[in-house]
Parts: sequence; C-alpha cells; structure tokens
Amino acid sequence: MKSVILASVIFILIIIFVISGYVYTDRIAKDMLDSLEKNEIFVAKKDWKSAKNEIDNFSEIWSESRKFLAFFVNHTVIDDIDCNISRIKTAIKMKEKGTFLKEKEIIKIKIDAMNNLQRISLENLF
Amino acid sequence: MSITFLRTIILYTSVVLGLRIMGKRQIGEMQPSELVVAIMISDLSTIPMQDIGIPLLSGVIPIFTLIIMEIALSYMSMKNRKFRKILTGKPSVIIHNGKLLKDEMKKIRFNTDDLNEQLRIQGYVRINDIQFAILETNGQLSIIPKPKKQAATVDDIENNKPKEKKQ
Repeated sequence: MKSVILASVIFILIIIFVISGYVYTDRIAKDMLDSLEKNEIFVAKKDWKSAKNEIDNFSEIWSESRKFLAFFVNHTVIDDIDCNISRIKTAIKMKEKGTFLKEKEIIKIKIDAMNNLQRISLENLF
Repeated sequence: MSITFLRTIILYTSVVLGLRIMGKRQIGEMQPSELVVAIMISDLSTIPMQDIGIPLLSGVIPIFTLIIMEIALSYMSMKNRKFRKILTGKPSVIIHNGKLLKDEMKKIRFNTDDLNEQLRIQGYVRINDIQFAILETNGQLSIIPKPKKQAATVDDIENNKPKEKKQ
C-alpha cells in the first residue's frame, strides 16, 4: 500500500512538472517571438540603436530561460539558438539587414519547433 | 566526463529507487509485464547516461512512468480477479494423471522437448510418474508426482513402522 501511495505522489509530481514545463516553454517562446517581431520593425526603419536595445532584451530573456529550458529541451537545440543569437547580434552591430532577416527567420523556426515539440498533438505522438 | 559520471549516479539511484518501489521479485518469478518493464527501464536509463545533450529528465520521467504503470496494474490485478486473468493469464495443465494434454500444449506453444527438459531439471524422467504438470503464469513448471512416486514424509514413516512385539 505504501508503494501505491508513493507511486501516486510521484505520478502527480510528474504531471505537475510536465504541465508547468509546457506552460513555461510556451510563455518564453511567445515573449521571444514578440521581441523578434519588434526588432524586425526597428531594422526595417533602420533604427539600429533601438534594434540593438531590443536584441539585448531578447538575449536577456533567453539567457534567463535557457537554464530552465535545459530540463525539457534537447541541449543541442539550445546551443544552436545560442549561435544564431550571436550571429543576429553581429548583424545588428554591422547594420546588415539581409543577415539580420535570415538569422531572425532561423531563430523563429527553431523557437517554434522547440515549443511545438512540447505540445500534446497527434503529430508529436506518432 | 564529470557530467557523465554524475548523470550515471543520478540515473542509477533513480533506477534502484524505482525498482525498490516496484517491489521484491526475482527475475525468474517475474510476470511478462514486469519483465517488459525491467528491460525497458534498463534501456531507457542508458540513453541519457551516454548522451549529455539529452535532458536527464527525458530518461527519468519515462522510467518513473513505467514503474507507476506497473504498480497501478499490479494493484488493479490484486483488487480484480478478471483483470488479473487478462493481465497474467491462467496456469495451464499439460500433464494430467500421467497423460500429455497435447491440445493444451498446442494452445500455449509448448513443445515436448521443452517439457522433457523441465521434467529432467526437476528430477523426473517418466511422464507416467507425474500426476499433474502445470505451466504457471510466470513460465515456471510445477510438477506434482503421483502419490506412489512422492518422497516419504515423517508421517508416512511413522505410520508404516512395524509394531514392536510385546514380550
């Protein structure tokens, strides 16, 4: 009977952890995608100073969340996004619109994929 | 390397803890579902142990989920006889009163070579000497010899002792 109670407690903890992981990933992904969209508007207006501030903000969100994301997300994906963020920062610094747009799309796809993998869907199940 | 070392310790502790929660069973006494869980756990724990790119929890969560499922199934089969029958099946009598029940053997795909091997391991050579041979749900063969072929008990010896003559 003891083991049944212990198993039930572990089961509830797993469910809580899985749901909170999903909610957290979803929220972070949304914040990051919003920040990227804002950045695109700044770059389109050639407001490189605001773009730099926004990418710093984006980078801060990412560096705070990556520690927790490592619990659910494959570490290779996190490392890949790190590399893309470095490239997008350089693009803003060098004022290269083309490179910025390319890197922005790659980051967007990777964040979307990372978030979608946590979702409960038929596509992920099978 | 240090991460691999630490991950191994964590996973080993999780597996030992999980198996401890699952209960005490010898490998030979495992039900089919328990054997499946044991094999899957051993395989699951090695993946995040070797590949540090995979989150540790993607190994730990399936391990504990399997253990929880196993505990839930064993609890349900303890409470419900029908469910137990579905999960573990029922024992099959394959020798009755010294005669092979071939239809039953066909049904469970148990051949005569396997049967003879099991009989020899348990010290029986002739099928005629056996009252019942039952293939249990955990795969073990239980043999009940005919009364005349059973080893004598202390009671048997006591009862058959020649009476002492009164002088």
